[in-house]
Parts: sequence; structure tokens; C-alpha cells
Amino acid sequence: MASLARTFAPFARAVTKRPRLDFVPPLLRSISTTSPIIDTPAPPPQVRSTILKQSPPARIAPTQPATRAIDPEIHPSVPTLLPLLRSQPPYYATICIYGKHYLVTAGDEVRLPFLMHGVQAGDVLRLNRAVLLGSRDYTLKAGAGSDEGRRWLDERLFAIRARVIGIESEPMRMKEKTKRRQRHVRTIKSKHKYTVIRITEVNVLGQERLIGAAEEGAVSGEIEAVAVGVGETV
Amino acid sequence: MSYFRITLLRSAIGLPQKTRGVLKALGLRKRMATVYLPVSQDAAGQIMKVKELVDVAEVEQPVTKELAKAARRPDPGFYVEQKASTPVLS
Repeated sequence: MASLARTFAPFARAVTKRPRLDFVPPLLRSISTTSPIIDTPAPPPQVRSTILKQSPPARIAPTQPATRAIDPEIHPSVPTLLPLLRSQPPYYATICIYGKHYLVTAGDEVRLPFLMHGVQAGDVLRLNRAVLLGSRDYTLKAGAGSDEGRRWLDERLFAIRARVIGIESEPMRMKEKTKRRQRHVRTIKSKHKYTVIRITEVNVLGQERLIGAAEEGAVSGEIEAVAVGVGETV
Repeated sequence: MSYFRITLLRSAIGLPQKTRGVLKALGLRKRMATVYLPVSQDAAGQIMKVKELVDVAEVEQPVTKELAKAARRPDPGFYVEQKASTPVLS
């Protein structure tokens, strides 16, 4: 019965008007309050200069690799053909920086499509992610021989170093943002910066680097021998 | 406790409000968004309402937004071996 009464109760919504604080009825004006009126001093205005915002932490470049690229299996072509690859300097390599591939050899200048934070001109970088190592007639590819496919080569097989040359920037470009039939135009300027590095050395290291840690693993890649005849170009 | 991993593969543009409501209840805002729902009859019924639009898999643990973002982040591919001797005068 109580629930029935509740359902049939008139839907009551309190309608209240906000009291006008500036309107005091004439009769009440003469009535004084019992508590004394104390003038509290106004709080000091917050000075803008004292509000300090915590600046975001400066981004630093990695000084140690987060993970090691070490392969558990050794491909049978590696013991036979890696010494042959090593016997043909100079070498080239396809390195990966933030997922982007660059085919480089010693002496190349690479203009990265971003500003590298935490480095300055003169810093030496060790590039530890490579997909391909090659010489004149031989190529070592990551994951070529296996079905699962490897993302990178075993990092113990190569040493690729680069030096940061400096920072380049694009010319200033202005973009005008506006809407149709509105006489207001906003201008946005852009001048992006790019880090330039020079590859100082591309070295292919010997298989003895893998012997000590043979239990951990070795490279899993296939070396292809590209037979180049006289007068032919690959 | 296992979870449904639900990914929206087809857009809801042009679909009736009821279907859009189901996607909103699931938490799928745009295409290729992924949500994790505990396996239950309610969740299964919701999925059945939009089964032509989504891809569903059952997983043990849900992946948080931070972990999913970290998995997508590429490897830097470099580290600083030696810093320059003199600091840059700025």
C-alpha cells in the first residue's frame, strides 16, 4: 500500500526563486544584528608573477639500450659466409631509427626527420638496430632464412657509430587559417628543426663475438651470395 | 577472469540509433578502437547486437591504455655512447 501511495503521489518539484540579495525590505533595514560587524581585510590579490608553473622535464636521449637484439638460433649460412662478407670492406647497412630505415655506409650524412632531444653536436651515437649488412657480393638479412621472421639482426655482429653534426631547420612557413565569409585570418608559423648525423663507421664483427654467448644464441639470418660477373651490375 | 577484446572494424555512420547506442554502451567511439569487457552474458548480448561490425577475441588479461601505447612505441635504435667534451654555449 505504501508503494501504491508513492506512485500516485503528486509529482512535486520544489520551485524556489533565488532571493534578491540587493533588495532589503524597509522594515528590516532598521533592525540591527546582534553580532558586531567586523570588517575582514580583503585577501591579497594573487600576483601573477609568483604563480610558477612546473616546466616539463627535459627530454634526455637514451644512454643504454633498453633491450638487446640477440637471436637464439644460428643459421647454417652464417659460419660459412660471414667471414667472406667480412673480407670485403667497405660495408653498408640498413639501420632503423624509431622504425624508419636508412641505408648507410661510412661517411654518409643523414638528416633525420625529427629533432633528437638530449644530444648536442659532437655526441657519438651507437646505432644498434640494423636489418641488413652487406658488402660487395654478400648480404646478411635479418630473418631471411627462418619462417617466423626476425625484426633486427643480432647486435653483436656489427658496430655502427654516428656523430651528431648539428641541427638544421626548414625555412619559416606561414599558414593562414580562416573561415568562409569571415573577415578574420589567423596566421600560424612553423619552422621545424631536424638533427643531422654523420655515420662515422660501419663495421661487421666476426663470429667469435657469438662463441662466448653461444648458449644465449646467435644470429638468425641468411647470407646470400650475389654472384656478379664481369660487366654485370646488380 | 577472461575478457572479451572487442575492436570496431566497421563505422557506425548511417546506422540506426539503437545500434549506435550499443556501440556507445560498449565504449567504442571510433573505428579500430579496442575495449576490454569481462566475459558475461550481458557483454555477449551486446556483442551479438553489433556482431557484424566488430572483431572479438577472448583474452586472459586486459591491456591498459599505457601498455598498448608502449607496445606501439618504436625502438629508438640508438643510444648515446659518448657525450661531447665541451658544453654548447647557448
